[in-house]
Amino acid sequence: MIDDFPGFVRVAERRSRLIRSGSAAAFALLVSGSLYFAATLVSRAHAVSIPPGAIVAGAVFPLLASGAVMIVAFRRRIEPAALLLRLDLALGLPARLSSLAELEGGGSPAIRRRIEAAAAPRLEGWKDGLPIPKWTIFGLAIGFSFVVAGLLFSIRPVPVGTPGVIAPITLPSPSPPVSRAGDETSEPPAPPLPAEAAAEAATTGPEAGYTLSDILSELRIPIGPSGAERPASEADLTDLLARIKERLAAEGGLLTDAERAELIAAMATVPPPLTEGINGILTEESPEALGNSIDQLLEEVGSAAVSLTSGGTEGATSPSRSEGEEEGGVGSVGMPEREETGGIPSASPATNEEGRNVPGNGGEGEEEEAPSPPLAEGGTEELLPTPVPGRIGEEGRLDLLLTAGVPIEYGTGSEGGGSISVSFERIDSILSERALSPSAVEAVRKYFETITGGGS
Amino acid sequence: MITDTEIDDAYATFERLREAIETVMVGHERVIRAVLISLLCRGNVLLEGVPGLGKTLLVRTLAAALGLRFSRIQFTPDLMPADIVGTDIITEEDGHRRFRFAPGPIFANIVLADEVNRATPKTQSALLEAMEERTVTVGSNTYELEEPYIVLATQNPIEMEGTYPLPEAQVDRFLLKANVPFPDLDELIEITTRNTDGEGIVLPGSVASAADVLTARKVVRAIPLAAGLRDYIARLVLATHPESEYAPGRVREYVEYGASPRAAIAMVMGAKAHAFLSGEPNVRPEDIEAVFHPALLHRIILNFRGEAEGVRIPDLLADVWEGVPIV
Repeated sequence: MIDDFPGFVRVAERRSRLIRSGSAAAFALLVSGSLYFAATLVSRAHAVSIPPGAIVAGAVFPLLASGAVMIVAFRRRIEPAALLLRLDLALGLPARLSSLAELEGGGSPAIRRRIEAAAAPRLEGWKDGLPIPKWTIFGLAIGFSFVVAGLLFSIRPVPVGTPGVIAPITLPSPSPPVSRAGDETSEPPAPPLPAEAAAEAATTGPEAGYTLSDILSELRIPIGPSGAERPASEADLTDLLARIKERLAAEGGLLTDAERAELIAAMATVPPPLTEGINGILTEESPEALGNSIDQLLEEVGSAAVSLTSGGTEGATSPSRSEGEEEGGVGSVGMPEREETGGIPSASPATNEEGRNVPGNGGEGEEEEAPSPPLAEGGTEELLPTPVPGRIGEEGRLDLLLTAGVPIEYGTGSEGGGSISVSFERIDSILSERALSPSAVEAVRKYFETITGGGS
Repeated sequence: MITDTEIDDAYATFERLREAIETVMVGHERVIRAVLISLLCRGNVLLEGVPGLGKTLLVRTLAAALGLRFSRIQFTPDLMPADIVGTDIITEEDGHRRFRFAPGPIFANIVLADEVNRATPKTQSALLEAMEERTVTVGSNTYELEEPYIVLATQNPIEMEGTYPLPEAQVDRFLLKANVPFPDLDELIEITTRNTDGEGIVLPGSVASAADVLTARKVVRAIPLAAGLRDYIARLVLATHPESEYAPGRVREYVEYGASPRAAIAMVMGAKAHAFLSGEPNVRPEDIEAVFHPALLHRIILNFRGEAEGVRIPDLLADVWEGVPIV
């Protein structure tokens, strides 16, 4: 090696540049990997859904960045004089190699021979003088671990019950038809429906199994064998309206704050057509108009109950498929067809009117197929099955089970199914738009807290 | 081109020289080494120490061991420049009177300027040309001094009354400054033994010649200094300047002027000579360390605050040494 001193210097310089570039790459990977990991943590803490492409790009970026830094660091030249002196110090050679470099341009051969002879015994393991720093290996390992951990965090769904996290509702893409046997409320609980099973299967892991039934359970809405067993919401509304009507007849005047709160709470448990009526009652400002609105709503409650009962029975006995479902391969029996909307379902119940099947309204949705709104017999509506265009890939239409009155937000989960997140912010904005009284807003907030278990 | 034989002979010569000096001198290894380094580097040495420590004996021993001419000049306040360099005198030869130059004591190979700070600056400056140019100019005539030539000046650091501190320009011309320490117990016993037993101090015979010294100087100049170490020396010298980016805090605070470029030259040459005296074929970091203090001690000037607070220059140099990394 010492016979070809320039060659030795080149080899040492190359090794030094490699070590330097490795250290730079480790640093870059450590920094960018930790940033990526932090970003995934933050997005997870705030339940921000990240598109798969962004996840991959985020994971690849630290690797690319460290690679780029490595190349740049490798291309930068190292001053041989400083390198050789560093090597001398590391090998315990008293400036032999760096002095030899001085003699390259000319010098006494006799002195050169003496220096070479003094340096030779230590040159066997000269690479020990340029060791790979431990922190480089450590930094690379930690940085890579950050990337992998960030990737795993991004892929895994947000766990249920995480503070400040809104649990997503995982929706099965190929949702089988949901039976609307409203007259089967008295039947004992049966094994989960295929829809529920599919929904559970659509989740990515056992701990991530936050299915539709879980959500509905959270919302305290029982699910029957048919998938939507009816609570007595319409009956409650009828009772409430009767009480209000009775009080108005006795005392006159307008709605009290308590009545308003009860009506608002009822809005969340009745089908959208009835919520409109309730909304009308809440906005009436004269006693006469208020009385008329209550009477009208009572009639609507009665007719809706009849319609839902017949529709549910029909759906249970002779399930039919809509044209769109057959084309798209997505089954939806007994669900109202939303025709030619082509858009994303609105987050608020008010904008879902087009897709709703309100009895007697003669809307377009009734022309192809007019299954009645899914009301349980003697119960009020909790679920509003709504086929919507798929938003993930080309999976066709999806069947969403919407709970009337609960605003929804569509997430962008990375799994096969979409997700719906319920947030108080959304509710709050809707309340603001409607300019409700503070007491009404407070009632809604309490309601929201009730259905979300006190979370945000 | 230096041959192996020349190198070996030079190493051997100076090894013999060192041993010869040590037969007379007790201790003072650093001082002896500083004198030899100056001899090898064509430099001059400023020796600082109280009287009676053997400074004159060292110079005489060196001259005897080298077989060179030695002269001693005792500097006093009434010493005139002509007393040092010599003067033209009128002589009569063959019935004709003419001026003839009578060389002063400065015309020797080894000159001991004893208590150099007792003479007036005018007389002190008479040494300047000889120290730097190795020539002496009297009237319109310039005379070459014989090589090897070295001036060893001594200073008494205690008796400062009636002295004339050396001007900075003159101090800078000394390659190294060596403090002559007081001997320790064992050395003192050995000194008394050598001086009082038998025939007393006997100067050694010549173990080398002027030619040997000149050959050794060639070898010293051929010893390589790594570029990284040259850079290190430059940074060390710059670090003595208060405005330098390398200067440690206390240098910025207490130093008025740092070391001159002559200091860097002195360190490079001194390190080479030190490596030679150590039998090494190249300059090592320890060679630089060995000459760091002797080369810089007399080249740093404290500011008023440093003087007032009694700051010691060796302490500042220690800061510089600690604060400047090799690479």
